[in-house]
Amino acid sequence: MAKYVSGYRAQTRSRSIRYTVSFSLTVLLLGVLQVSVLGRLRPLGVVPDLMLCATVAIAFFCGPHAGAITGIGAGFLIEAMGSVGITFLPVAYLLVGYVFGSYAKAPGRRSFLAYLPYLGIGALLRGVITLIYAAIHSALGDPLRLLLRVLLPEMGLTLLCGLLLYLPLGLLCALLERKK
Amino acid sequence: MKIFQNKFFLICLCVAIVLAAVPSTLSVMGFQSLSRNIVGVVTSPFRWVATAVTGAVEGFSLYFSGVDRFYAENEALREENAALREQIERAELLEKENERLRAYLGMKQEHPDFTMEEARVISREAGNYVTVFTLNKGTLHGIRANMPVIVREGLVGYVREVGLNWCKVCTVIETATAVGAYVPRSGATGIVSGDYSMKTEGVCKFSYVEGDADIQVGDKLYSSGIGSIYPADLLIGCVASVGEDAYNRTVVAKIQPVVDFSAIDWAVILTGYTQE
Repeated sequence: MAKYVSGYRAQTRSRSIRYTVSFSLTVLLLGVLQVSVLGRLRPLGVVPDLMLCATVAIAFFCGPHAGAITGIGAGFLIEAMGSVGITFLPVAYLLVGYVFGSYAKAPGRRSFLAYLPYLGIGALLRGVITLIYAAIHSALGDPLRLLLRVLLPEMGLTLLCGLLLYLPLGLLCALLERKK
Repeated sequence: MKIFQNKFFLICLCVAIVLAAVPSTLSVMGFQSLSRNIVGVVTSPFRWVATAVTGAVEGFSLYFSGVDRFYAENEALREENAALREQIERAELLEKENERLRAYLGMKQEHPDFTMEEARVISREAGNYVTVFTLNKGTLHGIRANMPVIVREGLVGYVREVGLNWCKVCTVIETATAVGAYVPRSGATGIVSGDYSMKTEGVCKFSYVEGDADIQVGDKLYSSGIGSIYPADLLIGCVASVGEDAYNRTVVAKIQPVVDFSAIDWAVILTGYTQE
């Protein structure tokens, strides 16, 4: 019996390491992409939130635990790389990853169409996060201008990036699941 | 709130709060967060590579996005170039006109006894050596047949045919032309006329010269004024070679005209002169 328990624990540890390494690398890559590449190119004048997209996708495909850990890592990494001052993204992304993962873990809900509402809510949350940051930094200014120039383009691009990440992150999660 | 009864979630939430609160507090207090520093150091090489790649991609895309701008700039430069070319052409024309008027004035000063009618060449006889060309002056301007035609350099020929506002000029290398000529150095006289065999070379012959006449290569030939067409002392050309006539005991010389007939674009018709 002890032998079986030991084998199960080893298997679980190996699986955790595999997940952690894969998601860490993914988050690191996307973080660098967001900060260095998209931060410089700024399509439509804004930077899409790839980390939120990754959190949503991983939560959607791999469940609440993976979503929560990815959310904490993504939030922390993007704050550490890209901003200064007050930060709350680890908490926000943790909530996104855990809650989305909990709702999406039901069987038969992992189709592209089922992914879209999560992504849409993620994009809206991105808008809310930006609003909170604007309020913290006293940069709300003209609300219409903020909506047209910042919020809508940012949410739109985040939505688009989420759609583009659906396939590669889905494949990654499928590969990890298969190795169970 | 079922979610807050989950042990995993609560642990994660605590970690997240610590990860958010500690850097925020340190940042607000003016200290640098160790975690941010570590993340910055670890991700720095990746960011450097990403920035380099982005810079390259940006440069590449700028190359293509700049094509429209380059087209517009090219178009503007073309237009500017065309305008400048037009200005240069106009300036060249004015310069040419100026030269022509200077030459005309010079001729007037050299030959005060000449009455002249300036004319422009409007067509040329096709061929390698132009021997007949048409001027834009005719009977309306007082031009008549057999009037001599000159340029600043020397004698060109004479008016062969006249129309209302045009006339045809035969040059001295044309076979129908004959000019009484002399060599000032030795006083040798003879007749300069065109020759079929020499016409293609752009030269003419100096014949009917006495056998013992002193003629050398390089000698200048002037019109003698003998005959009713040409006034005296108009430069015709230089002696290119000297030989003997095979049929009689006279000297024949090949003459290179001083006027380049293919380059003439204007000439002066002598409508009157005082014969001494």
